[in-house]
This record gives sequence, C-alpha cells and structure tokens, in this order.
Amino acid sequence: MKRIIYVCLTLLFLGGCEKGIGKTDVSTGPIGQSIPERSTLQGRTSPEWNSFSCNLPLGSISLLEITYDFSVDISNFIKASRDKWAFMSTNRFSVEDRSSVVSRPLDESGVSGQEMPDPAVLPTGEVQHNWKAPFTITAGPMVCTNAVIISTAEPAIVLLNPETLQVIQTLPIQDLIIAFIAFNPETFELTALHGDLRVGKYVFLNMKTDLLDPVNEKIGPDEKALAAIQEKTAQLLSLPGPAKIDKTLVYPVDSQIYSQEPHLFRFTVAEDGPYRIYLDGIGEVPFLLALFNETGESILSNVEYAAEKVLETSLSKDAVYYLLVSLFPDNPANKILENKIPLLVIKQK
Amino acid sequence: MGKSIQTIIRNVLVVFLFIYIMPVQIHADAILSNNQAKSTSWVTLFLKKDQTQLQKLIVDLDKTRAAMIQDTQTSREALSVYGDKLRLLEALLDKYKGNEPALIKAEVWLELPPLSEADAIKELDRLRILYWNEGRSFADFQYGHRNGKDFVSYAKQEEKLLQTGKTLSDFLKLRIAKLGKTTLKPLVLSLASRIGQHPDCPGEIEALAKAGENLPSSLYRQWALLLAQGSPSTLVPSAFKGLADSSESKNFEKELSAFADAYSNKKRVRELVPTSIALGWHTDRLAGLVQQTDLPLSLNLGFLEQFFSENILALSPACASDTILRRALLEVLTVSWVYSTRTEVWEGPFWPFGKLTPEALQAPLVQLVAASTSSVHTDGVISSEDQLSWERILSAEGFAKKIQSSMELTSLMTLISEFMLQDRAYSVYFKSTRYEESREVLFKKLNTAFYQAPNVSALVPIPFNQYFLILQLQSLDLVQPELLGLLQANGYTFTKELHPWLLEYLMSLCRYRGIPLSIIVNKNLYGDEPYCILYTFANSSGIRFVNYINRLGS
Repeated sequence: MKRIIYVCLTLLFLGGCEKGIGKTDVSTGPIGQSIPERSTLQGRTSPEWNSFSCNLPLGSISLLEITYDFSVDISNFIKASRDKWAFMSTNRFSVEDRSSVVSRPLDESGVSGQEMPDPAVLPTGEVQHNWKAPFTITAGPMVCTNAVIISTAEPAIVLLNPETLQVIQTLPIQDLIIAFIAFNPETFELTALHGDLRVGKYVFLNMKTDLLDPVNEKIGPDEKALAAIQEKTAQLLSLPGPAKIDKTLVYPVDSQIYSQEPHLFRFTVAEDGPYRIYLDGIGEVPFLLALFNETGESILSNVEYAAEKVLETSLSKDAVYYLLVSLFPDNPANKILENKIPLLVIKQK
Repeated sequence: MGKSIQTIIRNVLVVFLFIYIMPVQIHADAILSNNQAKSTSWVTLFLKKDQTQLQKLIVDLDKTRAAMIQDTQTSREALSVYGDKLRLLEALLDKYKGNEPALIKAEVWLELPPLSEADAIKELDRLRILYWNEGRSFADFQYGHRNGKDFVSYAKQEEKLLQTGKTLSDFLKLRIAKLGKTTLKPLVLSLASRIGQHPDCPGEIEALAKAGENLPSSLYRQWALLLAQGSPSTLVPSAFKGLADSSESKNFEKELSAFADAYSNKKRVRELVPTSIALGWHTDRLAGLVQQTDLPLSLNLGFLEQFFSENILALSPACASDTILRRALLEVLTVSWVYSTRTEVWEGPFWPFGKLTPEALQAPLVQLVAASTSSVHTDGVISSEDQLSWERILSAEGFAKKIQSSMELTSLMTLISEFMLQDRAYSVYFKSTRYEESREVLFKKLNTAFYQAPNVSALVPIPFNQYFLILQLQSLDLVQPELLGLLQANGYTFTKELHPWLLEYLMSLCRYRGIPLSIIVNKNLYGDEPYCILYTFANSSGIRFVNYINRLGS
C-alpha cells in the first residue's frame, strides 16, 4: 500500500517536472469531455521504476570520481539491486537467470478508471526480446528513452537498445559494479557502488574520447607541433597531403632508418655548441633531414638550399628538438639500400 | 622527497604494527628463553631426596610437550602440503577442463601423475577429504601420533600434561611454602619458559611473566605453582586466590586476563582452517569441479555466527603471527566478502551460510574495511606523477628496443631481471600503450621459452619470479597452473624489489574483482605475510570464487 501511495505521489510530481512525457491521461484531456480516457503507462517513466525520460549520450563513459563512502548504507543498496527490473512505458525490462535481459509488454487491458496503474502488479505478456550477457549481470537494468543500462562482471557498462535489446555499446570499466545507486537525467551522471565498497560517479558523454598515452604525450610533439612538422615535411618531400608520421622515436635509443617512410626523432643534447647531423651507411641515396624546435617551427633542413649530406648547426642543451629523417618515397635509388639500415648520428663538432 | 616521506610513514606503520601484534618480539630484554625452558638447574633448590622425583616429573612434562610440538608441526606440514596440491589441481582443472590432452601435458610438465579429467576430479575429491580431515583434526586438537597400536591424540596428551603438571604442582606446594621470591625466580622463569613453548601458548606469556615478577611473595608462590601445571590453559584469573589490591597485582591480573583471552582466541580461530577448506569446496562445486556433491564438509555455523558478530580486528592478533591461521583467515575473509556483496549467490544452492544473512556477514567486514583502508593506502603506493620521469622513459625505450632482437632464454631473462629491478621503469613499459606491440613480442617470447622447458624443475634455477610477474601481467585472470606450480616449487619466494609492483597489481586486481584491497593486504590481519603469498592465497580463494560467479548463468 505504502508503495502504491509512493508511486502515485511520484507520478503526480512527475506530471509537473518530466519533460512533456506521458501527459496523455485525463488531466490533459479537453474540458467537457464526457467519457474520461483510460489511464495508461504509455510513454511514462519514473525513477521509482528505474526509468528516466532522457536521451542518453551514447559516445563513451568517463569516471568522474571514486571514493570510499562508509556512510552509505551498503546493505540497502544491495537489497535494492536484488529487484532487477525496470518499467518504462508499457514495457518491463528484467534480469533473469543472472545473465539475461528480457523485455515483456505490460498488459493494461484490465485497467479501468483514472487511477494510474501500478506497473509492478500488471500482468506481463510473452517475452518480446532477450539479450544474453557473456558475463553475470551485476547491476541494472535502468532505462532511458534510448538505452537500457546494465553493468556486467566483465566488468563493463552495457547499453542496449530498448526496442530490440541489441547491444548499442559495451563500455569496459576498471571496477566491478555491484549496484546502481542513483542516476541524474540532467547531467547523465550514474552513481554506482563497486564491489570493494567504493562509490564511483560515471558520466555518459556524446563524444568518443581518445585517451592520450602519457608516455607518448611526454615524448611529443604536441598535436599543433606535429601538424606543423607534417606540413613542412610534405612540402620538402613534395607530397600531396600531410606526411604520415608513425610514433616519435627517441634518439639515441632509436637511430635506425628502417624504411623509406618519414621517421621523427626526438632528441636533446648535453652541451651547447655546434653539432653535425648525418646518416651513416646511406651512401649516395638522397634523403631528407629537417630539424624542428619543440613547437614544430622549422629550424633548417638539408634540402632547402642545396642538397647537403650533413646538417651542421648550433644546438642548445636546454632545448628539445625534433628531427625528421626520410628518403624520397618511390625514388628508384632507394633500392640500393635493400637489406641495409642507415643509422642517424648526431655528434658534437 | 615524496618517496622518503612514504618510507618514513611505512616505517612508522611497521613499528606501530609490530607493537600492536607482537609485543613479545620487540623487547630486547625478554625474560623467557629457550635455554630456561630446558634448564633443570633449579632442582638444587630442593632437598636431595626430592630432586630425583622433581627431575622425573619435569622430564615427563618436557617429553609430553615435545611430542605435542612435533605432532602439531606434522599436522601443519600436512595442511600445507594438501593445500598446495589442491590449489594446483584446481588451477589445472580450471584451465584445462574439457581439453584432456592439454591437461595431461600440463600435468606431466608439472611433474604430476598424468590423470585424465575424470580421474583428476576424483583426485581433487580425495585430496579435499584428506585436507578437510586434517583441518578438522587441527581445529579439534584430534591430530596426534601412533604409539604401537594406539593413536595418541593431541587432546589426550594435553590431559596427560595437565595430570603430570598437577602432580608436580602438588609436590612443590609444601616445599616452596617458605621460599622467597629471589630463590624461586629461576624456577618460575624456567617453568614460564616451558609454558611459552607449548604449541597453544600465545606470545602474551612474556608480558605476563614480566608482570609476575612484581608480585608479592605469597602470590609469587601461587604463580610458581600455577606455572608448574604445565599448560597455558590453567593460567586464568580465577585460578588465583587473593589477588590483593596492590597496583602490581592489578597489573598482573590485567595481563593474566589478556593472556587468557589470547589463549582462548588462538584455540578458537583454528576453526578458520576447516572453514576455509569447506568454503573452497563450495567454490569448486560452483565451478563444477566436484564429483561427490554430498561430501561432509559442513561449515561450523555456530562459530561463524560468533566470528561475524565480533570485531574481526580484535581476533586478528591470534592469527597474524601464525602462517596457517593467517592464510585461513585471508581465505575466509575474501570469500565471505564476495558472498556478502554479490547478490547472485544469495539464493538457492549457492549460499553456504545457512541462516546467517548477507547483512550479518557485511556488518563486521565493512567495519574492518573502514578501519583498515587508510593504512593500506599510505603503505607503499606510488603516485602517478612519480612514475613518469625521463630516465624511466629512456629505460623503457631501451628495453623495448632490445626485446626486438632475437636472444637466448638466459640472456632474455637477464635482460628482464635487470629491467625489473630498475627504478620502476617497468611500470612505464607495462602501462603505456606506446609499448603495446613490444609487450606482445615479449609475452610471446616468454611463453615460448616457458613451455619449451621440459618440466617445471628445469625452470627453477632461472630468475622465475620476474617471469611469473610478466606472464601474469598479460591479464587480470587467475594464476596459471604452470606459474602456480613454479611458485610452489620455489616455496613462494619472491624478490623483494618486486613487491611494489605486486602491490600495484593487487590494487588493480582488487578493483577489477570487487574485493577491497584491505581485505587482502593488511598487516594487522596477516602480519608480515609477503605479497606473493597474499596474492596466491587470495587468487585461489576469493578471486577464484568471483571468477566463477562472474560466469554464473552464462
């Protein structure tokens, strides 16, 4: 009884604050209509039923914060998570056999009058859709207009299409979730309880985030500098578009020129002074050496004025340099180098 | 700077924990000793005609105690051997179930009998029963030795000890009535040292003996007579008559109560051993690794109800200094944690705790985690900004470069060992996506080398632990049987330089499996147990259990 009162109160409350969803009951009917419409759950959602009338951003998920919170009553959340169902509109989503999400239609045919039906007591029809998870389902389901949210023991957060229960996306996470605690449909923040009692706040995002590797980031060059280097290289090699550069190599750990493609080396020097930069074992094959500073500004190259075999320049011990080394693609002379690997040398004069 | 602060914090913590767990060991001026436990020079205090009888009684007591020590040692060794065998067979079946040729190949490689899958499962049942029987007798003090046709249990020997002790005590009663404290001191310290050697005696005996030295003469004589009874079981406050109200005797009474509690806890927590074995069987059943589903491995629910109604940290001193008990505690706590937090196992045949509810398990475990979390986090964790220096990147770059070239296994191992011991450059190498391809090459080479060895013994002489680490690092999966066998063959030893790495790995693993780190890494609970053991025991208990729950229904 208490539950029904609570559901009704929630519905009254929702009538005012949900964004125009589910306003199909009698209260919105034209004045003076003699036969009131039958109440229906069509289009309705409620946090009480683990459903929300919002469109979830479907790009990726990001962990905002993670904390131990011993003040939360863990057993309550765990108890709540045993009720593995969600109702939205005239559908019921539930977890069965620990690893399946099943949707069934709610049968409203027996509903009469104006009182909003309680989805928890409505009879359900045959299984409409079924999704078998590869791992045990540990939390959910929770439904938004465009996605059913569950967590699995992979561990991952899995988003399913509410219409078909097909996987929209599997988002692997680091921490095993054992219960969903709260969801904020305005900010798309999901608060979840982890198996080790830490509370994690995840936010759903629309974009795909490419996480930068901290080591690659430290080796550089940064995005802007790299673009400048690629552009200058293309110009020097007469390429139609920006030069393709694989990962930045660290000289002197790496010094081999193992293909005719552009190689980008990062290096520093121990002392200020004049240096000679050249390729050992290159023979008569033409090649490009182009020196850049940390921001991608071109300092000098061996081809701009005259084709030099050695680059001579003054270097500072406080600076980080990037050196682009490349053969001229598709130059028949490159064949001479078959089975030979030239080596980059940077030597104090 | 950050590092030195961490070191200081760690040292302070270690000192604090030592004080908390093992008050006996840190006192350099211990008053009890092995030599005194052997000494009989005090018989000269007595008349010549009494000396022979005294000698006889004390030799009797010493003999009985020595047999009890020996029997306990034998039982502990059996537990450890059965446990290791069982864990290895479980790991083998977990990996190779459904692939018999691979199972047999792995068994041969591990120098085990080549059992078919069905036979391996039978063997697992058989080992489990042996392990269980040993664990049960260990908890019930029913282990012992044969004397001709008769089996002499530990409990029987304890009775004999008490009888002889009573005779000695009665014999001494009139004879020490007029002796002063100074005269009696060698006798008291010798008897207390003997009790200190009793297998069930807690470390608190030292503090108690010290407090005893401050007792007035009349009480000191009572103390001597109690000690003469030979067993720690008689050292209880109620055995004393007329503990006066002086501060010395009050202090003694306090120490005596603490001793009696510690003694009773130490005996009681032995129930953790069969408990951990039974819980392991439930995990095997969940994993489909048992043949007989009606094995008589019942949990002692009375014990568990009491255990989970107490402050677990208060019981931990009884376990922390004992390898068998602390490993059983680790297994029981990790598995119980998983039972209490994973709703998937609450219903039906998966719940082994009878009428004990998940909430009843949760309360003390949550309390334990809440009390332990801060200390675990300050202990040895390295912050991320600490990790990414140029030196480390250059080391990682160099290592990645060298891995590309072909080399013999021994040179590869030397290279890895050197690299692993460098100042945490391996963290950079193992975590950065930059080295993904290089890591694949490395794992491939290691795997090839690992399985090319004719058997596990052939791998023992090489620096296997780096091997172990790197291979395990490929995934957060259960420990491979081959690696477990390798660890067992080497007595679970591990280079201490790799401990920070193992701790970091355990942190990720715990998050991934939903077990709080402080349930597995916790000096209050497990004393000085090395990370390698904490890891392998957690792996074969709680983490293994999670592994199967995660696939329930799929």
